[in-house]
Parts: sequence; structure tokens; C-alpha cells
Amino acid sequence: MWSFMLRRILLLVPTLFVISIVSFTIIQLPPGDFLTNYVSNLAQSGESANEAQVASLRARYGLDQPVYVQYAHWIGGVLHGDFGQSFTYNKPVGTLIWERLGMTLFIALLTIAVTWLIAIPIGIYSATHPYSFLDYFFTFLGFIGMATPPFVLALLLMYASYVWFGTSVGGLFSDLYADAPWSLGKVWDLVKHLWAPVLVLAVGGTTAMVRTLRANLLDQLELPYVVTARAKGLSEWRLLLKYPVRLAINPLVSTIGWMLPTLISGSTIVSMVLSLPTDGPLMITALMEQDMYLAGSFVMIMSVLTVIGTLLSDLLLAWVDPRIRLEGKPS
Amino acid sequence: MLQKALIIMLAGVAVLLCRAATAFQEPPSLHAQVEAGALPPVEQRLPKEPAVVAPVHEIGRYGGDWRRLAVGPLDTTLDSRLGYEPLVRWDASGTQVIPGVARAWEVREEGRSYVFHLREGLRWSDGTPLTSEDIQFYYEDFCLNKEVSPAFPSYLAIDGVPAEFRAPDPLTVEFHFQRPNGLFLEALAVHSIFMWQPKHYLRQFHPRYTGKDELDRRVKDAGFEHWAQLYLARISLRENPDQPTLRPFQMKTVAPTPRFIAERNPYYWKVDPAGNQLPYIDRIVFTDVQNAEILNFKAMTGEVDFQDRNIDSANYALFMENREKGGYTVRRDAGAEPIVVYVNPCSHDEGMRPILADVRFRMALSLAINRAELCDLIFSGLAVPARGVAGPFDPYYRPEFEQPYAQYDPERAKALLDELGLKADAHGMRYLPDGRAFRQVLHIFPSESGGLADQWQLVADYWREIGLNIVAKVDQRGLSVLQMQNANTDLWAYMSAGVHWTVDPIWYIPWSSFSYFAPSYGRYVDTNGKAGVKPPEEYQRLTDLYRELTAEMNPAHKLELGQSILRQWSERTYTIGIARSDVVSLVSKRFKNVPDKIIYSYRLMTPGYIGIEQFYLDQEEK
Repeated sequence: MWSFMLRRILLLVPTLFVISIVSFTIIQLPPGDFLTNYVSNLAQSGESANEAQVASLRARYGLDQPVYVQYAHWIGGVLHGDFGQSFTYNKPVGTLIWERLGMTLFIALLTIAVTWLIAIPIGIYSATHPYSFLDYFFTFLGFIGMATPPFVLALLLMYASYVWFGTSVGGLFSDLYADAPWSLGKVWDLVKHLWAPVLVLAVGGTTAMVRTLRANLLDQLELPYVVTARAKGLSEWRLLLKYPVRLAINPLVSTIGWMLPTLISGSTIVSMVLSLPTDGPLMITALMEQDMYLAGSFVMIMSVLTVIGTLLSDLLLAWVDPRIRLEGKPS
Repeated sequence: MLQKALIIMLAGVAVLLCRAATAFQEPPSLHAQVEAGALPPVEQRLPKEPAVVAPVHEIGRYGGDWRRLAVGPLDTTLDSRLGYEPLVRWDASGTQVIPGVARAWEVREEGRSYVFHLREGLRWSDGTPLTSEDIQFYYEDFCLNKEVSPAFPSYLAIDGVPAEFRAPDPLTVEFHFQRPNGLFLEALAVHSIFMWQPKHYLRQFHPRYTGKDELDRRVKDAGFEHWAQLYLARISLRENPDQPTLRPFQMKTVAPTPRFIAERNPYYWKVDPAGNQLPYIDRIVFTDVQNAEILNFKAMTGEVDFQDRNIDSANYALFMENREKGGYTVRRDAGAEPIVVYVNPCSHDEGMRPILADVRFRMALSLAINRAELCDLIFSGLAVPARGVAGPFDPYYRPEFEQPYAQYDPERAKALLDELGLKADAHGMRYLPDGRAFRQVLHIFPSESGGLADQWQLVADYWREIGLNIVAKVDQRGLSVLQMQNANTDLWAYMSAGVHWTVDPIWYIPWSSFSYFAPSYGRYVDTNGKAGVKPPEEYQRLTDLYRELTAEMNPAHKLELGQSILRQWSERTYTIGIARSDVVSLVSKRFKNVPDKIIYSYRLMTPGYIGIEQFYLDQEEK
């Protein structure tokens, strides 16, 4: 087990190095840079920059240097925990991302919890009562949920709430509490605003999870060991939860690796539609404005999260499933 | 003579009466701070002679939040459109220059010297008086410092030579030019909004006033590498709530945040005729939305008090439908800026160059467009045809400039193209004299609101009808301007200047590579011939006329020179004007003192020139 872990962790180092190069290259791929965007922004409102000014800004931001110099500059900082400065906000990248991380993780984790809370019971029910009315009902609902992109759902929600209640959903607080310090009232206000984005975000994930769980569980339920256990008089619930469900959850565990980066990026479009103060929209604007270090750091952080997530799910799987742990050892 | 004296006396008495009758009042939201001693009483906060602003409709009431929407922190425009406080300013009609931060000025030595008198007791938002030292600081330690301001601001220079600055006493500033500067006041009315850098605050970030070690430490603590980066971040209103300001509202939050909040400046130096300290409104609250479409949706639901920025006129019908429910009125105001197509006279394509540089080609393009149809079809009537030769709000504009080649006449356009040697094949499509088929791409500057693709497709279709194979393509955002500057784009759709174009010559004069109608010639002028292409006599004439105009003090001669420039534009059709589109805005029922007519332009800093400080919220109205 320990050598398994060690091997995995050592592999991280070269992977992350390659990722950092790839992510920086990707940022550089689109033609132009932050300053051409800056000029376009000015042009948008009919203003104009001065040529000398643009040239000197370019020199100040180091944008006139070759890409590998820019990369070395950036990665050197990253190793010391300094992600560079955001051109758009004139603030350290670390601060910018960090400020929003709390709310981002909160919403993401809540979404995952809600997803699992809805999906696992429904999945188990559907598998144990296949082709029943409720199974069909959930399947039907699920496919609609899966087929609807979350941002469309968010837009529909916004529209519906405007038509019915006369207000638009969006943001996490009402005007009254937005600038107030934390209080019970503010928490309640947050809850009132939070259900919409969390629900919208959970819907897509729920369906996929219900379908996976149902399919896996159905496979397990017909296996001889279940029949044996049942014949030996194990209570139905205990039997279900102890063996088939545990196995059926395996695929879910192995996808935790993908889940970590979606903590940040998964809610991006929904966050944009619903104006949530999370990291996703910050990342999109950084990419669009070619705010190099901010965008690069985001890509880097997401990759690191993916890699760590994969490691975590490997370890979790090894823990959950002895077959993986013992692989390669003569039993 | 007697009559005149009498009037002056009466006026004097009236002023005295006003001063006596109106002890100044302040907004209730500041009472508590005054009582607690955190703020001095209003008389001590106002200058000796506060600027008196006449409200558009009526004296307002204090209080409330002006709700707005913004796409990111750049969109708040608190230092320009919503914080228009230049040294001298446009009046409410947007035509005359009147006192601003300066209470009066004198022009001396036939326009070589300008002397401005500041208001005694005018204070920054932290209570420190504004003196000529602040402007000297801006001039000497900012403008002339190559590290922080690599290019000297062109509005304070003439022929590239910076004005000489003097501050003889705390309330007087003087600018001396080497030759008469006839456009200085107009230029100040636009560009001097960026003049305000409080020395007492900013000196801690400037190497001339702060020791190297200490400054280095500050730079490092803030995560910067160079002091100029720190300085530029500290003078940015939207990034630094600590910087004192002269503007009516000061940003109190730091982006990124879901809501940008600007609060009233307790030392704001303007009052209404009843002696109420302005602004009436307590705060401007911007909700940050992620894109323009969401902004339009939220605006439609009535979440704004007065929103013009980023409102897409294509949604006009939608707004009208929802105005009752949303509790707002939908305004249509004139946008001053014409939408035009730039034709590059210095194409890199040898075969194409003489064609594009030929006035007959541009005439044909202009004649081929049915502007009336276009305005109806694409703009749903929310636009008027325009030739792109300034516009009716510009002082140098004359209606007859609109006439030449504006009427729809495809036959004449075809004849012009034939004459030019662009022969048509059996299908009526034309080819170049060198035998290649004529093919061009109309590059479109990507505007945030989108929706323009239809308009340009129709324009391209008009041109196809006279045998020109031109396809419309929306450019990639970052590169659009750059490609045009480098003359890599031959046909480019963007906007031009419709009012007060003289304050920034790039639009109508080959001046720099930002002169989109002839970027290569502009670069030549800008670099004194080191780069770019030498402009032919015709283009040189524009530059010469403009130089003459900047030196002219006589208003009648100025007018004549400006008109000669525009007349040449009208005759030579350097750009293909399409239309001037209306600006749609939403005003909530409780938002008051918005004039009946507004002209939208960057050069008027709309809505800045109206005076945003006199807007007020009628809290009883819902």
C-alpha cells in the first residue's frame, strides 16, 4: 500500500511540470495579448490609446519578451507561492482566486452533497424496483434533466421567477443584506438565494449518477452471492447496503478525480447567468481578456486539482475495494 | 451704460441675497457624522464660492441608491462618464465651455497662455484643500515622469512640445504654449478629467517624495515589481477606495465583488440654487453581471434606476413590453457617433491598393447602400442614415456635408466601378485589372452587444449587387484594432466621432496609427517619417488644415478651417458612413431630473455633461 502511494505521488512531479508548460502555452495560443484586448476595450466606447503608451505598457508587463522568458518568470514565482499580478485587477492573482475560493467551494460541495442525497436513494430505489412506475417516472425526469444544459435551466428559472414573482433570481444576497455583516438574517437570506443555483447545478449531475448507480446495482443484484446471502437470511436492507451498493458505488468513487476541478469550473456558466461570486466567472473573463497570469494560474490550479483528485480516487478505491489494493500480489 | 450698471448692481444684490437667505444644507445621511464631529459642518466643507448647478427640472430631494448594472469593474466609468469633473467643462447643451473645477480663466498673449483660477476652499474628499500644487504634482511628477507616464498627454502639448507650467500662487495655474493653442479649452473639457491626483496622498507612492527603501517595501508588499505599477494601481479610482477625489461619488468597494458601491463625496463642492449641497443621491450601487445579455435581462425586469451603458437597442420592443411591470420608461436618445466602414488606402495587396485608394471606389460603395431601407430593416427605425462626416451636434458640421453620394443609386455606382477598370464577368461579378477576381472581407469590430452581424451582412449584400464580392466577418476581439492599425485590414466596420472631433484628431486627420481611415499615413505623421507611408498631398492637406486650426484663436476662422476639413471629407468620402443609431436607456419612475434630450458621445462623457450630481430619487414614487 505504501509503495503504491509513494509511486503515485512521485509521478505527480513530472506530470505537474508538463502541465504547467502546456497550460502556459495554451494561454499564449490565441493571437494578441492583454494589451490588444485593452485597446479593444477602449475602442468599444470610442476611446483611443496612444501608440507610445501601449508600447511602454507592453514593456512594463513584460509582454515584449519571448514566451519562454515569460514562462520562467511565472513558474519561478509560482514555486514561491506567487502567482503573479492580474493585469485587469492590478492585484496579486493569489489574492483574487483566494477571495472567491470560499464561496466557490461552499457552493460546489453543497451541490455535490445535494446531488448524492438525491441520487443515491433514487438510484437504489430504481434498481430494486426496476420497471416500476416510479422507476419510469424518475428515468423520464432524469433524462429531461440530463438533456437540459444547466444554464438553460438557470435562464428558465430566471424567466419564470420574473413572470411569477416579478423579481429575477441571481446573486447570493438581497440588496438589504449584501453589504451587511454576517447575522442570522443574512444566513437566512443566503439560504433563500442559494436553493436556486444549487438545484440547477445538481440536476445535471443527479441524473448521470442515478443512471450509473442503477445500472451497476442491477448487475450486482443478480449475482449468485446476493442470492446466497438472501438465502442465508440476511435482512434485505443490510444485504443491499453492505455488498451490492458498496460495489456499485465504485464508479462514483473513481470519478471524484474529475469532480475536484469541476468544483471551480463546473458551475462557471450557471454562475455567470446567476451572477454568483465564484471563481468560475473570474476564470472566464481572465481567459477572454488574456489576463495571462490569472488565466494561467487558473488552468494550473485546475490541473493540479485533477491530478490530486485522481490520486485521491485511486487511494480511495484501493481502500474501498480490496481487489485493487491487492492487485499484482500473488494471493 | 446706466442700464448696464443697473443690471450689474441688481445681479450683485441678488447674489448677496442668495448667500444671505441660503445657509447651506447638507444631506441627512451626513448629519450623524457631523454631530459626532467626524465631519466639519457643511459651510466649512464647501468652498467659499461653491459652484451653483441649476437642476434640469426641479430642486431634488436627498437620499437613496442609484441602481445600475455593470459588466465588470471597468464598466463603472466612475472616473469618466459618471465622474465628469474637468478643469473646465461642457455646459448642459454640450456645446459651450464653462467653468468646472476652475472658477474662471483668462486667455493671454493671443492664445499662448492660459491662466486658470481655482476655487478657494475647494476640498478633496478627505477635507484637504485643492491647490495649484496638486496640478503641479500631476504635471511635473506624473505627466513628465517617463517611468509612470511614458507618453506625455497630448492635450497639454502643442506640436509635440509640452506646455510650460507655472503655479504663481495656490489658486492660480498657468499653461504657456510656444504658439497659440486655439483648441485648448475644448480639449480640457474632455481630457482634463484625468488631471486630479491628490499630492498629499500620492506622494507616499512616488520616488521623488518617498525614500527608496520605504517605497521598495511598499511596492513589494503590494505584490508589484516596479513603483510605477503601484502608483498606477493607486490612482485608479476603481481599485483604490483610499484615494481622495473631487468627483461627486467615490468607489468604496474593491473589485472583484458582486456589487460595486460608490458613496457620496462629503466635500463635494457644488450646490443647487437653494443651497443644498450636491449630489442629491447617496450612493451609486452597481450590480456586477457577467455579460451584456444578462445585463439587458436584469434591466428589463426593472432592477435599474437609470441605465444607458450596455443597453442593447435591439431589445427595444422587449423593454417597451415590460416597462409597466418593471416600473420604468424607455428612452431613445441620439447617439452622436456614426457607424462607418473604413477603407484602407495603403493595402498590402498591390493589385488592390490603387482601387481602394481611388475616390471613385469609395463613392461607388457609398452609392450602393440603401441607407433608409437599412435603418428600417435592421435598426427597426432606431437609427438615421449618416454619411460619417461628423454629425449634426458638431460645431463644424453643415447639413450639406450629408448630401454627396448618400442617395441610393446602384447604376451610378456600377458606372463608377466600370470607369475604374473593375470589369464584370458574365454573372456581373467584377475582377481586378490584373485579372484576379475581386474579393474582399469586411471585417467587423466585435461589439459587446453583438446583433450587428445582420446589419453588415445586408451592407455586404448591397455591394454584391454592384458586382463586388465582399463578405462580412466579425473579427476576433483582441486583434481587430491592431490589424487595422497595421493596415492588414482593407475594409473595417467600426464607428467614428460625431461631435467635438477636434479634441482628438485621429478620427478625421492622419495623426497616428489610430487614424483608422489612413493608419499608415497616420503612423508616418506620428513618427515624423520614421515609419508608415508618406501621405499624398490630399491627406497632407488635412494635417496642415488641422495644425492651422489648433493655432487659430478667431472663432470665425476656426469654424471655417474645421468646415474645410469636413468639406474635404464629404467630397472625398474617406469612410463609408452608414447610420447613427439611437441609444436606448431605461429610467425608473422614481429617477428624476433627466433632461428631455440627451446626446451620447464619449467626448461629452454622457451622461457626465448633464451633471449627474443633480439627479435625484423621488422615494415616494415606486
